[in-house]
Amino acid sequence: MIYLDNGATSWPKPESVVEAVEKALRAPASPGRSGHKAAHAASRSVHRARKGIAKIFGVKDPERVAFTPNVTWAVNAALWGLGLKEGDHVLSGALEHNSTARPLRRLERGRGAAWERVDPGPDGILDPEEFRRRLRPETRLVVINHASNVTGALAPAREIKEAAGEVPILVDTAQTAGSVPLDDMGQWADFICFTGHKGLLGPTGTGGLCVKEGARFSPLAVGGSGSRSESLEHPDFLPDALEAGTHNTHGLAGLAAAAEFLLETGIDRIREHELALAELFMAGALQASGLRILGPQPGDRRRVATVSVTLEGYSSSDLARILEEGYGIMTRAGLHCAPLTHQACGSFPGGSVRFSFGYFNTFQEAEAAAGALREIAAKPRAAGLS
Amino acid sequence: MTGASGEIILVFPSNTRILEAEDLLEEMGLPFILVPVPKEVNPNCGLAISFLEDDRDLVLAPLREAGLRPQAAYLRKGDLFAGYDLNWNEASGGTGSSDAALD
Repeated sequence: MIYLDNGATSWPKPESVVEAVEKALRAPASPGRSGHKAAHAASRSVHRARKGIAKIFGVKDPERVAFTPNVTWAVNAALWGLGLKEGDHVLSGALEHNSTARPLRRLERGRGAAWERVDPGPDGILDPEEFRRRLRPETRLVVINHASNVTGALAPAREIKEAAGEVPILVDTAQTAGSVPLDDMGQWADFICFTGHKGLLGPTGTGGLCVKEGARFSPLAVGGSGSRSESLEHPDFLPDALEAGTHNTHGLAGLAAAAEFLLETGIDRIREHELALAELFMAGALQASGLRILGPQPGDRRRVATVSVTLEGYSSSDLARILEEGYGIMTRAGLHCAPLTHQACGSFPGGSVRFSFGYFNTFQEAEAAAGALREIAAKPRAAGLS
Repeated sequence: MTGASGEIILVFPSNTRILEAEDLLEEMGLPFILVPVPKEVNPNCGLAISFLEDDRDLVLAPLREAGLRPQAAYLRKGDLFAGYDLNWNEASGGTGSSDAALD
């Protein structure tokens, strides 16, 4: 089996992550509530995850890292928490995943906030100057998918923030955290949304939101926090304000181990390995007749190791099926929860087949995937699958 | 721990902040223990930092430096608790940044 679906969730996880989750599952504990040793150990484990994430994003104060069940929840917490309303304007890229596009759509329809999208250039990359041109006095937020989960195109998020000036920016790092060094992002991004189970190599059910100093918004959910127990008002300080209810202690124990693995390995090293895999794959795949790569082309470093292709004569679902049944290669076909991106790339509604590489993939696997595409393209296409 | 000099108990506004304080004091090898927040004087859940009054300057200096300001401080002598003035000087450094970030 060759697993090339790391954009959906990374696999395998480091052994230390598996061990940490198992150890947490065997411990009797709820973090931050009781005062006994086991509860404190659970608190320490959550705190390790918080410190690790703070370090990865260059967030000076770990208290500004709040955990959520996933990146979608984090995006919703920020978008709804800002209280956007009629008369407000939100600017985003056109390469958004539904995790941001759907809440923005609902804010547009339900609250009357205007949502404007900026298309990428012919190279598949967003242009910060275009964001500068579209800013309005009523622009309340800029939303950027840091890397497209379809094309792998990396957004120049910092330059977009510079163009946006005082307007806060929300960066969805679902496809970059753990795969691209982001240790300066905490200095300039107002809201960093992350998921723990993709490039960060942790378990599903972990994610969060890093909030820059000065950002003001309301919590999406309130409830038990282990703090200010005497009050019926939810705490207004971070991270408690955004962490109603018991944490995913088991998952966060894994995320803590994952963050430590990434920091020890070096995210710059991970990036170089993943980019080399993508380059090798693209060079080999492009030799297949009728194959098209969406977004950034070979040699362009403004990408992550997620590569989407279409192959003439094949639907994306048939191609993914042949890859799995004939070659044991796991990919993802279709629209990847990102209809806007496929519209921008001219691949809507058929979609594409996405090959997303991770740190544990090998060059042999990348070459095997490219070879499979060449072989499929060279075969005469019979009716139906065989 | 509740000797003649008394025990100082620091309560922090959040569990995260107490963990930050614990990390810092532990790294510096300072004499403190974690105790349940005394319900006699404070309704918070979780833990508090406790140390001897004699070690007050030793323990408070790095917390001040890092801006890890307690929410409340108490002096315990046996079963008796009294509020304790830390003379916290904000100008001495740190951000104390668990600010009221939310509306």
